Amino acid sequence: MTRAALRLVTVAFCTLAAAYALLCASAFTFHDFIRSDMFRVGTFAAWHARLYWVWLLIAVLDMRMAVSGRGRSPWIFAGVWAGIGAYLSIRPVLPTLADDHRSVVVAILALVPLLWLAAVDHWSSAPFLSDRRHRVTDAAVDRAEGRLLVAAGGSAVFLAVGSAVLVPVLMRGHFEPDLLNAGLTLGLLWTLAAASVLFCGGFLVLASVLRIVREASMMRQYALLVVIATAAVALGIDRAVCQTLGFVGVWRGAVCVLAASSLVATWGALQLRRFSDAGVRPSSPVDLLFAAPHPAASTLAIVWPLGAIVAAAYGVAILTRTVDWDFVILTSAMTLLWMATFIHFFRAAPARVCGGRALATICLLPLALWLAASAAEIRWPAIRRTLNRYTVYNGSLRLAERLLRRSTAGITPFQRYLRENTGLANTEIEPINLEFVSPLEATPRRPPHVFLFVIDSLRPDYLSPYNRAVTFTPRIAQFASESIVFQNAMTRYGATGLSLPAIWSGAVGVHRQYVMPFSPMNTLEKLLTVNRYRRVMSTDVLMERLLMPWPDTIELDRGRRTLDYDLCATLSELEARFPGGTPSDPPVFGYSNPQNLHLSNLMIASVPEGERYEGFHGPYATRVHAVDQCFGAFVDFLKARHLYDRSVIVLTSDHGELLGEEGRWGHAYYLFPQILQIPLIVHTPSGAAGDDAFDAGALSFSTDISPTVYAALGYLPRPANRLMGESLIGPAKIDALRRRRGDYVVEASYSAVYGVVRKNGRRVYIIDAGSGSEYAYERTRAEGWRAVQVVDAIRLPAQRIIREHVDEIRRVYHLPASK
Amino acid sequence: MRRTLLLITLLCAYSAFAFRGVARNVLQRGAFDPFLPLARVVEQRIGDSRFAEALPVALELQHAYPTEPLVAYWLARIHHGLNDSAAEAQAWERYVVLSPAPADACPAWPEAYARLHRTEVVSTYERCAGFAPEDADLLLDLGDTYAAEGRRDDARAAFERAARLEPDNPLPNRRLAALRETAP
Repeated sequence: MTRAALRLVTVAFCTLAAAYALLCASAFTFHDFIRSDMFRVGTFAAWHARLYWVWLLIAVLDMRMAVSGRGRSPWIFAGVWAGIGAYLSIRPVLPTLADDHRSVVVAILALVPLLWLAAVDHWSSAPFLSDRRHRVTDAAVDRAEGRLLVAAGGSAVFLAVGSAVLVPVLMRGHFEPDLLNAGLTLGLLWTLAAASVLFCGGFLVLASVLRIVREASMMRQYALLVVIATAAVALGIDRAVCQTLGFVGVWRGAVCVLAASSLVATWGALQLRRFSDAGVRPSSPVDLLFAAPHPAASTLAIVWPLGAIVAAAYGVAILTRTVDWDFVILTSAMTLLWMATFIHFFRAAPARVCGGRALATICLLPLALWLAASAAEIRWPAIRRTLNRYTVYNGSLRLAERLLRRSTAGITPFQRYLRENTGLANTEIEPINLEFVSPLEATPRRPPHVFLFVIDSLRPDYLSPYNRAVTFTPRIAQFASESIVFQNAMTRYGATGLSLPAIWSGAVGVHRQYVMPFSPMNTLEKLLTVNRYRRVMSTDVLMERLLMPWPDTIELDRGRRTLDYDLCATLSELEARFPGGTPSDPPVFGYSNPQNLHLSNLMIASVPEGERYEGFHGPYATRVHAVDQCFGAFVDFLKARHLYDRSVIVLTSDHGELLGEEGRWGHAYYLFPQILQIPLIVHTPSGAAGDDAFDAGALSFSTDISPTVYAALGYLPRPANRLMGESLIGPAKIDALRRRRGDYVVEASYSAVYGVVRKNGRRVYIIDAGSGSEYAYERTRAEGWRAVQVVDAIRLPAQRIIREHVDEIRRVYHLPASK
Repeated sequence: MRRTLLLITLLCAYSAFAFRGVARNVLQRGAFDPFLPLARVVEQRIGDSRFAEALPVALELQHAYPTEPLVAYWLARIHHGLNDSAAEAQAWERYVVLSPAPADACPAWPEAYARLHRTEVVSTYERCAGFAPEDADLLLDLGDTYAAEGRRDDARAAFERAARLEPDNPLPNRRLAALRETAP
C-alpha cells in the first residue's frame, strides 16, 4: 500500500508536469489556458521547481523499496535528477515554455522518471518473472484465451447496454424526435456493434500473440504484451488527446508512445510487485497485466464495480455537458472506463475453454454486424442523423466511432494537403505591408472617437436585434435602433488566436501564430497612429504581442488576467479615466476583448434567483444580460458627455460559441455555424455611413471592421488583395451583389479545420483534416441551421475553393509553393 | 496449431474489413498518382494568372482524365484568362455534363456566350436556373437576361420567384421596381 501511494505521488507529479508542457506545446491551449492562466495552471508552473525536491525524495524512497535497499540504482537516479533539480532551481523551465517543440521535449523528459522507475521495478522483479516454475502451459493459454473472450464479450455488452440505459436519463427535458424507441434501439445496436468490433479486435490480437509465442518464456511473452498494450494506449491517447490539441508529425507520435509507455510500464510494474509480494504465480502473462493475485470471492465484489462504472459514466456525461474541448475529457474518461470494465470482467471471468466453431461464430458476428451497419448507413443516410443525435448522449458510442472512424476511412490526400499547409510554425515568413489607403495621411476633418468592443464568444442569436425571442438585451436593442445592424456577419477564424489579429489587420493572414512583426499588417493600428488617437484599452495577452508600444496609452484592466476581463469593470474604468472630451483633445480609441462569455467563465456562472431564460442556455444568457446593461450604461455615458454622435462604436465578437448543440461545447477546434456567426453592430456619426442604403443582409466579415472604421473617418479604403476586407459603409462600400454570390473560406485558428461559406452564408461546408470528418449545413428562415449530407456536389467545389484560397495566401504572403 | 491459424485468420478478417482505411492509406502513400502533382501545377498557375503556361498542362490532364470535371473547370478558367470565350464556353459545356455540381458553371458559362453574342445566352441562363431552382442569384441573372431580351413577363416571374426565395434580399425588389419604371 505504501509503495502504491508513493508511486501514485510520483506519477501524479510527473504527469502534471508533462501535461503542463503539452498544454504549452499546442498553440490553442498555450494562448487560451497557459498565457491567460485559466484554472490557475500557472501556479503549478511557478511551484514546480520547489515541489520537485519533495517529488525527488519520494521517488528515491520508492526506488529504494523496489530494490529492497540494495544496489546503486537509487543513487544513480537521485544523482541524475538532483542535477536536473539544481538546474531547475536556478532556471525554472516550466514558466518559460511556449508553443514550440521545446515544450514537447520537456513533456517527454517529464515522463522519463516514470519509465526509469518502472524499469527498475521490472529489473528487480526479473528473477520472479524468469522463475522456471512460471512456465506458460497450453492449458494456461486456453484458460487465458477463454477469460479474454469472456472479458471482451462481457465488456462490449455491458458498455453498450450500460450507456444505452443512460441515454433516456440524459435526454430528459430535451426534445429529440429522432430518439424514440426505434432510434434508441438503433443506437443500442450500433453501440453494440462498434464496441464488439473493438473488443473482439483487441481479443484476437492478444489471443493470437499468446498462441504464437506460447513456447517462449514468461518474461518474453510479458514483454510482448506490454508492447501491444502500449500500442493500444498510444492509439487511444492519439485519438483522444493529440488530435484535439492539434499535434502533428513526429512529435505527435513521440508524445503518444512515451505517454503510453510510461502508463503501461508503471501499471505493469505495480502488477508485478503485487504478484511477487503475494507470492502468487501467474499462469499466463495476461494475468500479470490484467488479473489480481487473489480473485474476488463474493458476488457483491463482482457487481459493485459495474455499478460504479455506470455511475462514473453518468458523472462524466454531466460534467462534459458543461465544459469540454472537442470531447477530449469525455473520450479520455470513457477510455479509462472501458479499460476498467475490461480488467474487471477479466478478473471475474471463469476460465472456460471455447471451441473453434464457437470462437469463430463469436468473433465473426460483431464483424458481420458492423459491416451490415456500415452498409445500412450508406443505403439509408437518415440513420446517420439519428446516430448523431444518439451520440450526444452516449459517450461510449462517441469513443467507439472516434476510434473506428479514422481506421476505416483513412486520410485522404486533400486532408493531408490541409495539414501540410496549416500551422506553418517552422516556415520562414516575413510580414507584408497591408494598406487600405496609400499613402495614409491624417484625415483633414476631426476624427470621431472610436470604440471597438470585441466580446469574446458572443452569439448573435442571444441579442434581440438578431433574434426576436430575446428579451434580455434591451439596451443593445436600443443601441441597434440607432446603428447599422449587419444581420449576416461571420468571423473568418473560429477562435481568438487568429480572429482577433484578423480584425486588427482587416485581412485573412497566414495560418500561424504569428508572423512578426505584426505592425506592417496592422491596418487599424496604422489608422490610429496617423490620426494620433489616444488609446484607452485593455491589452490582452494576445494583442500585447502584436501591438506597437504607444505613448500616452491608458491601459485598462492592468494587472488583471485576460480571462478575468469583465466588460462592466472595463467600461467603468474607461468612463472614470476617459481623457478630455473637449474639441481640442485628441480623439479617443477605446478597445477591449471582454471574456464574460468565455466558456471557462461560464463554468462558474449560474442563473441568479428570479431570472429565467426559457429556450436559452441560462448561465450564458444571464451574462449576456449583464453585458447588455453595462454596455447600455456606457452609451448613456457617451450621450451625457455629448460624445455619442461624434463616435464610431463597433459591438461585435471574434467568434461565436457552441452551447451544447449536438453535444458540442466551445469553439477552439470547430467551425460549426454557431461559431462562425457573430454580431456586428456599427454606430457611426451622422452622415458617415453614406447615403446609399446598405444591404444589411449581405454577408459581412470580421475583416471588414477595420476598413469600415477607415470609411467612418472619411477615407476611401480599397483592399489591395482578395484576402483583405472591405468597408461596409460609405462610397467605397462593398458590392453587396458580389458578396452575396461569393465563396469564402473560413478557418479554425488552431488546427487544420477549414470551411467554405457559400450562397450568402446560407451554406457551409466544413472539413476537419485532423479527424477526417466532413460536415455540411444549410440555413433556412424557418428551420435555422440543419445538417445535410456531404455529397460530391458539395464536397468537390468546396475543396477546390479551399485550395484556391490556400494558393491565394501563398501568393499574397510570398510563401513557398504548397505541395 | 489449428487454433492459432483460426485466430490469425479471424484477425486478418478484422484487419481487412474493419481497418481497410489504414491499408488504403498505406497504399496511397506508396502508389504514385500523377494527377495530383499536375493538378497542383495547373491550379497554382491559374492563381498566378499564368494562363498560357497552365494551358498545356491542363490539356495533358484532359487527355489523361477525360471525365474529370475539375479539368474542364480549369480549362474554362484558363480560356477565360486568355480571352477565348468560344473555348471557354465549350469547356463549361463539358463541365456541366461531368460535374455533380453543374450550377458552379454559372454565371460564367452564359457570360461566355454573351461575350460571343450568341443566341444560347438565354437558354444557358435557363439551364443554370434549372440546375439550382432554389438559387435566387441565378434567377436574378435569368430575369436580367429576359429583361434585356424584352421578355418583361418572364423577367417579372423570375424576379418574383427570387423575391419569394429570399425575402430579405433587396435585389429582386429593386429589379422589379426598375422593370416597372421602364414599363412601356
